[in-house]
Amino acid sequence: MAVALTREPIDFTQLAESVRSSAAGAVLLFLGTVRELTAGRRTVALDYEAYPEMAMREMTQLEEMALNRWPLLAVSIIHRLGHLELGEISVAIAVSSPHRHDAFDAGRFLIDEFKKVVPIWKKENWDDGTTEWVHPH
Amino acid sequence: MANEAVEEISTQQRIILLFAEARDRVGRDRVVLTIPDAQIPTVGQVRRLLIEQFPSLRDLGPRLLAAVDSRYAMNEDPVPANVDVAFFPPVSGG
Repeated sequence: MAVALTREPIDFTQLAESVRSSAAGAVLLFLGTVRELTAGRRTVALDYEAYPEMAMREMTQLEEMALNRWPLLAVSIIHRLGHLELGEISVAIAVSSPHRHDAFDAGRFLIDEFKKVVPIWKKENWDDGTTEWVHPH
Repeated sequence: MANEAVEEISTQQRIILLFAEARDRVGRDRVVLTIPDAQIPTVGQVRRLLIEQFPSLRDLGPRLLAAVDSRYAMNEDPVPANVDVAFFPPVSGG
């Protein structure tokens, strides 16, 4: 079980391997990636920053919630900080469970809740040269 | 010596961590707020003082989320001394 923040490219193979075991019938890996088009505007890059101590606490809580709610074998979450180019991986979540139904449900829960609570922010670098923090209402 | 009424004003301080747009507006990632009395302030009181001292935060103010000791806090929650206090805009990670 692990949560982490990193400034390095995410090794998602290692993340998936870290939850795979003979007790599991399913491993679910989610990758969040930097997308080029958003509401008609073109992204060139994203910058991610975090409140590290609180982000780690919130990610740990999400992991515990998922483990309590579904019969999972392992959960691993990692988010990358810093300057990310198009297509790069910002977040990776791996879960394993005996049956795939729980892995899908837990995986969806983890990314959906992550986006609501973890104190990390992204700054759009638009193709017109402007930058803009994304702060959803 | 003349009898003088000495007015003792108790004040205390809080260090406030700022992030993202809030940090950019103020230009610093942490600021020191002076709380003008001896009682433990609430998150709401600290929020008001923060915006008073940094008017560039005014339009962000109501939307800023607060955290005390790395936990989300509501306006009525206390802000004790010697724990981290942070105000930040809605999150967008993941």
